[in-house]
Amino acid sequence: MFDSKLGIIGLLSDAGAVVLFVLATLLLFSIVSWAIIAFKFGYIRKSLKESKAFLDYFFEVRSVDKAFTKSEEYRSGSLARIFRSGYIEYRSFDGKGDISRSRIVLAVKREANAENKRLASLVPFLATVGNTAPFIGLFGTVWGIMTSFHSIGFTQSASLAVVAPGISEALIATAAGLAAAIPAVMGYNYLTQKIGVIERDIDEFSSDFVDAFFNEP
Amino acid sequence: MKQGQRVQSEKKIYFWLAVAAILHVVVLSAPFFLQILDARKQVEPKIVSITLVSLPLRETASAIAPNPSVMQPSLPSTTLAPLPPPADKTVNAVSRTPLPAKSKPTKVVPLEKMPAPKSAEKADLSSALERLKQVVGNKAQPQQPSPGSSVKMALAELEKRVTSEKVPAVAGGSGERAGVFGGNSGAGKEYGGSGASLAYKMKIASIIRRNWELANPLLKNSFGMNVTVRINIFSDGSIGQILFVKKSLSEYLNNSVKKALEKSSPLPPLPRGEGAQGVWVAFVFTPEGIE
Repeated sequence: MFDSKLGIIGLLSDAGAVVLFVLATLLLFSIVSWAIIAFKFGYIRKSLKESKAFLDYFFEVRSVDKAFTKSEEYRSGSLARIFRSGYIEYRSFDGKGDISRSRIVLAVKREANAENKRLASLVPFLATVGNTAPFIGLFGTVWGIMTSFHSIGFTQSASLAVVAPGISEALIATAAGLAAAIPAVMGYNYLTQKIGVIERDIDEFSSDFVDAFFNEP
Repeated sequence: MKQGQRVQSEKKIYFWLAVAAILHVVVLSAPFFLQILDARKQVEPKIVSITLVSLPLRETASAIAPNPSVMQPSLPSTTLAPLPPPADKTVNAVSRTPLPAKSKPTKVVPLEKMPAPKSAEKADLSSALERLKQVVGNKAQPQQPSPGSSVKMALAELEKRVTSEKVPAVAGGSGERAGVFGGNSGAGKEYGGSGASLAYKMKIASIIRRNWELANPLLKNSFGMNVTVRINIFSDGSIGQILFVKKSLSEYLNNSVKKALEKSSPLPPLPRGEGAQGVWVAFVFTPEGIE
């Protein structure tokens, strides 16, 4: 029906086992990278949005009880989670003994760390893909060119018609490596920047939350 | 509660993994389907063969007439037009091609191409030929009042030229120049159009044509690409010198001509008495062939 040798399928069908393995690895990397980017993008965006809404409400009412009730609506917001953990610790002392500020601070800090870990989870994989995928692709290319030259040596012909297809096949691996790496790097940079914003918010408002429990009107 | 959140989070990442996998499958299969689509869209262009037929002007018409044997390269059948007067049986036999009866008689019918009629129809044929000559004369010289006399004049002129000038080139009636033309004499002698010389030139032209490899299909379709070469042939047939009188824009064509000439050397020895010091022969190489 058509000349499959002309298209990308034709090139892939002629590629060697190592090149195919490299391409499969890069495909897997790419799929996982895109999934992480999409998942994290939604997660961080929602966290930022809910954190902002919770902060607005928190500074508006200045009542920890009301803020805690409202925080139930913002379960994905990082700041709302941290506040909730501090409030739970604060209420655990209610009528049972002296309120220890340090314990509340510790609880808030623990939750902040957990939140940071949660935010940053899976993101390093993007950095790994961004750094290694081009090299993996390059490896596939080098291997493909190596085998191509080997077969050229057998045919004892160095014409363009003999040399070009092998090199073209081999270069697909580099292209695939770059195709996997570029979105991963872009996603990584975007996500780390947004995570940094949330982390700074956590550091900044954690102390405000603790103060709020003791300075409640 | 945290366990439930983690499960929900895992579900989300699996969902996005599935989405990413589907997207990759779609993106990777897109070239495949595009390839199929592209292959379906590619319709082979119709090859239209057009033969250009030049109307016999005064010189060419006169040049054709005296040598009927050269007229053998026949016109394509489509160029045969019905004769203006009601044709008799013999003429009908000539213009047997299924042409519309009402088509304008714009093309020239080669006179000598017609088969020899039977003895019973000879008189009819000769009258038809006479009428045809008149038509040709009218076409060639419409301003002349007496077309029959102009044809005769042209024929006489041609005969004169053939006998006096030794015209080297032989022109076909269909517009193709079938012969090889001789060049001016450089170091050697001028190579004219005598019978033996012409035969020799045809011979070497066929040899060169056999050795000429023009593999580039683009050149075959390109118009106006021609290389004029003059070669000096020694008496033993070896090519002494190759001079490019006119090079084409395509270096590939130039090289192919040079290679063909080098490959053809040595050519057959010159006929006796022809150019003891060697002769110069010119060829015009076009993607269509050698002239």
